[in-house]
Amino acid sequence: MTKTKFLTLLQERICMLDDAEQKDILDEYAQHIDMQVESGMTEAEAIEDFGPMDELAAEILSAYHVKSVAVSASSDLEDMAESGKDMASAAVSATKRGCSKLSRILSGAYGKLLAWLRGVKDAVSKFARGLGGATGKAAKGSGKFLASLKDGSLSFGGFCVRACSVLLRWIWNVCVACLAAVSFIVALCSVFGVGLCIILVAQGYPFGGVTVGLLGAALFAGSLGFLMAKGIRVKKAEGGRA
Amino acid sequence: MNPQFKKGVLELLVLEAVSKRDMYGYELVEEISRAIDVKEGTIYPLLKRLTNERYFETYLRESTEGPPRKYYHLTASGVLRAEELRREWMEFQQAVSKFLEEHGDD
Repeated sequence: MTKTKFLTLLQERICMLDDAEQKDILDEYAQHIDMQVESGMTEAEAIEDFGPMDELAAEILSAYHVKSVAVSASSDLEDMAESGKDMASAAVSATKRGCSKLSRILSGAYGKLLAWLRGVKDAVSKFARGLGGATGKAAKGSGKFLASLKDGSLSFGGFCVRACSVLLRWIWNVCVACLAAVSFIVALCSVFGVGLCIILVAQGYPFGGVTVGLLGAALFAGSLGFLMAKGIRVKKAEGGRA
Repeated sequence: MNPQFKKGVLELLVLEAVSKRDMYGYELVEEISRAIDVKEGTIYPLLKRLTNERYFETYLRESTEGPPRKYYHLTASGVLRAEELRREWMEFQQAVSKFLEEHGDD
C-alpha cells in the first residue's frame, strides 16, 4: 500500500471528527511514514507496522469515546443504558399523549353532559312556554306569580294552563335552588374540611387521602351548585321573555 | 512477548518516557519499540487518548529536517498518573515474583 492510499483510507475512518483533529492525526502518521522511509524502510513496510486498518481506526476513535466495533468491553452496558433511557423517554411521551387524549375525552364528555343538561332544560322550558304561550304573552317581570295571574285572560282554561306553566316553573326553580343551596353548603363544608386536613397533615397525621377526597367533594359540589344556579337564571330570563 | 502484558504496561512506559524531557511522536515510538516490541499503530492512538485526557500537552516546534514536529509534554496530572502507574506496576511485579518463587523452582 502507498502512503497516500493509507492516508485516504484512514481519513475515511475518522471523517466524523473535527477537521482540525483529522489533520492532526493524518499529519502525524504521514510524518511517521516519512521518517521511517528516511531511515531505510519502504512505505509499505512502514504502513504494515501499523497493523490492520480496522484495529487502528478503532484504537484512534476510542480516544474520543466514539462507539466502534473493535472496542467492545463496556459498550454492552452502555447499550443497555441507552435502551433503558429510550424506553423511559418513550414511556414518558406515551403517558403525555395518553394524558392529553384522556383530558380531551373528558372535556368532550363534560361538554356533551352540559349540552344534554341544557337540552333537558330547553325541553322543559319549551314545554312550559308551550303551555304559557297558548294563553298569550301575559307574564312580565321576574316571574311574579300574582302579576302573571292578573295579566292573563279571565277564561278558566287559560288560567289553568298558565297556572300550571308558572307552577311548573316555580317547582323547577325551587328544586334547582334547593339543590344549588345544598351543593354550596357541601362545597363550603368540604373546603373547611380540606383546610382542617391540611393542618392535620402538616402536623404529621396520616390525613392525606381524606384531604384529597374532601377537595374532590368541594370541587364537585361547587360545580354542581353553579350548574344549578345557572339553571335558575336561565329559567327566570326565559320566564321574563315569555 | 505476550500481547496482554504489553497492553497493560504501555501507558506507564509512554508517560515515563516523556517525564524527563519533551519528545515528539516518532522518537517516542522508536524508544518504546526498543524496549518492548509493539506495533507503532498502537502507540499513536494511545498518545492521542492520553492527550485528550490531559495527561499530555502538545505543541509544534519547527524543525530543520522537515515539517514542524508535534512535541508531547507531561502535565501535572500526567506526572501524578505516571507515579500511580509506577506504584501499581511495582506492587504487581513483586506479587507475581513472590508467587513464582513459592510455586516455581522447588
